[in-house]
Amino acid sequence: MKHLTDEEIMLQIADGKLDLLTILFNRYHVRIYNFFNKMTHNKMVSEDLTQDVFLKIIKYKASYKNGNFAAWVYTIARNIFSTHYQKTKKQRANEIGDDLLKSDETTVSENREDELDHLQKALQKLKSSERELIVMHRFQEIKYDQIAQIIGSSENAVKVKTHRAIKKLKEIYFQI
Amino acid sequence: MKCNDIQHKFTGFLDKSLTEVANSEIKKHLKSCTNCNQELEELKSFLAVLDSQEMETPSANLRSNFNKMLAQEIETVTPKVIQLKLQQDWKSYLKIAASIVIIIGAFLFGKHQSNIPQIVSIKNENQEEVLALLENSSASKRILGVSDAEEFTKKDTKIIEALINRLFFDKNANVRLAAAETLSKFSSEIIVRDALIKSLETDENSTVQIELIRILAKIQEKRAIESMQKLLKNEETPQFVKQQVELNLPNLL
Repeated sequence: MKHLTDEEIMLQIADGKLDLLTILFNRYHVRIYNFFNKMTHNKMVSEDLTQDVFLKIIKYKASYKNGNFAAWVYTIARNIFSTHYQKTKKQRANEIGDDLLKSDETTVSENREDELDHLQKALQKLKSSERELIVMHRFQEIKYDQIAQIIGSSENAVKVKTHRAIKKLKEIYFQI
Repeated sequence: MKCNDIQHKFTGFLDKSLTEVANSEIKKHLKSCTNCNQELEELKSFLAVLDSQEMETPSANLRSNFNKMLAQEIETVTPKVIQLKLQQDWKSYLKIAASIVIIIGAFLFGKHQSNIPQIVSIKNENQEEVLALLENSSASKRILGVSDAEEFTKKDTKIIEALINRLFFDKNANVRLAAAETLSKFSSEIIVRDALIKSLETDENSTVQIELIRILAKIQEKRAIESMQKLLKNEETPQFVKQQVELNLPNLL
């Protein structure tokens, strides 16, 4: 079974062979978990959301129509993130207010020692639509044309938006 | 070309995803513009930071929860497969039985003897049989009983009561799930509707909850709105159950 493509496996799952989902879980769970972790900056939530992705794959297996599996799975992941985001919006507004204060303090005291931590904070200051592009393109190494398919846009628009998002992130990164 | 236009193409330039013409334009511009050179260096070092990010490994919980979820999903699918096969067998068996009854009936009718009491007694026997199945100690037998109960009409109050009993008190979530599904076919009865609402308030199994939410929305039971909203407010309600409520609630409002 291991030599089958994601698409071949997914078609069999849609056909009722649910146990094959374990193979797709092995191939994708780390990537999807990291996608959520970059988007939410919260490990516990990211694990829950990753679990949700695989539950949704089972629930909506009939809607899979032989397209690129990675694109399909990221579409599901995006929907789950956006539901999560809407739900926690109010709560988040308060948290981010706190974060801003904290991050200013730490930059002064730690003197940008922890580059990664610093980047994570800068990333959280972007709009989620911008953050998403950077996460997909730079961290998950998804090609522009596939991102375009996932977010329902054109390849050119994705290129331009990604570039702008990176530029904005760079400015935030060097400012704070 | 203006510096701004050039800088817009820097990520593509570093990715080497530009056309040759654009590439040489940028190179030409860089020879004479210190400002853009500085910007490019900054971007390069920043992208190096970005690309040095490594994938984090999630905790072991994720895999064990996934395995649990998958096992549960497979389990809820399997009884349905068994049920279909058995139903088919039962139907073909019924067909043969029916033709035998007709032949015997015709024979007896020829002898001027009424066969009506016999038919009634066959039906009663069936009911007894299903009721017995519903009380069986094996969960799969009880599921079989629940699916057989579909064949009865809403006049068979004993069967409906037995199903409601399963929905409320069965230890096995799959039996409760099957009972809810079968009961949805009797949703014109007020006691059935009451039972479905009550069970949404009390059942703690998320798979059963999801099925109940789906059924209650389908039969347009507006009295369930309150209990659904309670589920949404409850912090212990799993995320995906809440999603199911959010999906179905608008149909009721």
